[in-house]
Amino acid sequence: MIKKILIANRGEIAVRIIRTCKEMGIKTVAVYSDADRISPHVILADEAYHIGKPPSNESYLDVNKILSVIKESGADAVHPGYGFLSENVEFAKTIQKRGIIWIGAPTEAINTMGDKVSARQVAKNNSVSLIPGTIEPIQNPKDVFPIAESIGYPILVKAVGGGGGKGMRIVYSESDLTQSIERASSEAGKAFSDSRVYIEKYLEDPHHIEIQILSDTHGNHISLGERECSIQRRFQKIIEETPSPFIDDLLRKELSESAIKLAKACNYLGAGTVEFLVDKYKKWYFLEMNTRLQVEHPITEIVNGIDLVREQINIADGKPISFTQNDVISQGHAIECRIYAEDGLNNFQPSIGKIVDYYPPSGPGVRMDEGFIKGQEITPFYDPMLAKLVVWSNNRKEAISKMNRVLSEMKIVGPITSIPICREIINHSSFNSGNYCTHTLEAILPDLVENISKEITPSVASLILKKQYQNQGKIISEELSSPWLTSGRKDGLE
Amino acid sequence: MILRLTQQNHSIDVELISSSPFIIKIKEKEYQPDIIKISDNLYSLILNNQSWFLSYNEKDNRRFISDSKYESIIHIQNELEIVLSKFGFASTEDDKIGEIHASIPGLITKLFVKAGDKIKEGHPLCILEAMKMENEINAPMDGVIKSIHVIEGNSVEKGNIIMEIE
Repeated sequence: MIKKILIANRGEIAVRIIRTCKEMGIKTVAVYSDADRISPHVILADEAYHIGKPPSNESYLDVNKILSVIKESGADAVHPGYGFLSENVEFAKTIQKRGIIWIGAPTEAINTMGDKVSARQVAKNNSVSLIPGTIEPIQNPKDVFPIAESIGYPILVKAVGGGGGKGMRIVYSESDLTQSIERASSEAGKAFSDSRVYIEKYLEDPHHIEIQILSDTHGNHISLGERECSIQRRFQKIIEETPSPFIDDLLRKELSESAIKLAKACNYLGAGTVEFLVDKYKKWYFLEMNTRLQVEHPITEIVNGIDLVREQINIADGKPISFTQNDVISQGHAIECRIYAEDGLNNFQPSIGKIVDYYPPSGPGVRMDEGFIKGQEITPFYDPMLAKLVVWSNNRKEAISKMNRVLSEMKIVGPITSIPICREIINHSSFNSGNYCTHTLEAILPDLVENISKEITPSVASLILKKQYQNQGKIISEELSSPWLTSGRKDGLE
Repeated sequence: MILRLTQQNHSIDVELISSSPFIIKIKEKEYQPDIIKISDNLYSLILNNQSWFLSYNEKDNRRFISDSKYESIIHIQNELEIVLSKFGFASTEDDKIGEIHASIPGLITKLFVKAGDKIKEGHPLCILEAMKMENEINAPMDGVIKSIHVIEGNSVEKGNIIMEIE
């Protein structure tokens, strides 16, 4: 029986894991860097241990520090979340040698499927179709020219150990190839300690569809259906939904069967995701397998009425999955918007600073997985995702209306967030009609910027004028009066 | 007090008629909104019995206001700036040519040049890493590196000067 879990992560995913642990009566241990003293994961956990400076490699990636917290806290299991140490085989092996339960993928499966080259080999051996490209990592950029030529531009340079858009470049012509390989390789080296890259054909108009699977130690492998994740910027997902408005039952079945075939082939355990690219003729290709819990897992949880983290913990504890494949009946429609600290309408520039105000979203069918709190400083050290906003409704149309309502209600003041761009995407005809692919966001971005209110309402004008007048008033009052009067005057004005 | 509010290519002038009661004028029409501050940056505004829930955010001289219908991103000019722009003077000074500024907050992880280097347009100058993405900054022009204001490992704020080219 697992009694105490150390969550080797931060932000929204740490909070999400802590919540399930508490519901299961399991004690939680948080770790935090200097930058995260008032992060919600620290506030909500039963125990919290400081592990170092803000840069990840001096805290959340510092294996030795985390090992000593495991010892000190007496945790009997570790949940790595996603990112950070979630696919670090050495770390997983080390803790398991010490008798600690690893609530993550088996190390052999991480090795096989986390490495994109060997993952492609597994897919090939199991007759799961692959995108044309190099199976082997690139040794010398010069050797790639003839291969790129034969596949045909545009091509994609991708990190062998990559994910999340890091270590990835699209190359449209031969002249950019060498430089792109160098940049991708350097980025990958820093992000994943593995600078190997490979190339593959860049498909036009593809859908990014992924299948959530669960596997346990009793030989059960279950598919929980698909997630449509084609709304992306720089290869990072921003809005996901399930079911996909694009795929049909036949395709869903094929993808699920292939996903389970791959899970079996790598002796998978726990929660995993198999990603596919599906072109407009519904021809599909295996993309990669993510051997961890994924960011967008809540939409699958909501339509299936399950808790993936609870299943992960039980599977790690040797228990079987709490339901069978026949029990999996997806109901209604779920949409997730990722709330990033970045200015979507200004080239997705990251935006840092203090969260000075926050009005949370709420109401029926709304789930907010947030990793921030009012007063917290958003720093450049970590991923810019602040929260995941998920809604559920009976059908897609209602879910879109709900998301629109919720996005207009919630307010985050401080860093510029992706709330405005999510509102614009949700209301755009291509999203509304369900007719979108991974290139859509880039294509409609000028529309979205243009659509952002063309009118300035009297209410907006009033507020700006009032604020501006007050700012001037404050300066005068500070010159003329005591702090008490200033404060009284300020209150009077507001 | 008059302000010019601009969003995209759309501008309006708004004039303060009275501060107490708070009355403003837009396009010859007067409005008397009831504005209540709810918390630091959230406001409730009632205007002609229409209720608005607004958040107010200032960033890089832009005002971000969100209400139940719109997201507004507004630039403002005060009376002096309106007068100056009428005579063709820009109110803000453009970056000097040759100054390389950080377009986003981040970390300088690599410098490819040193002071005195002769460079061609497009030559890589440095890598600005933000949120784990590497952004290569290239020379906007031919020239000589006059000065470098950062070292590898420095973090920079948006707008900070990184180097100068002559």
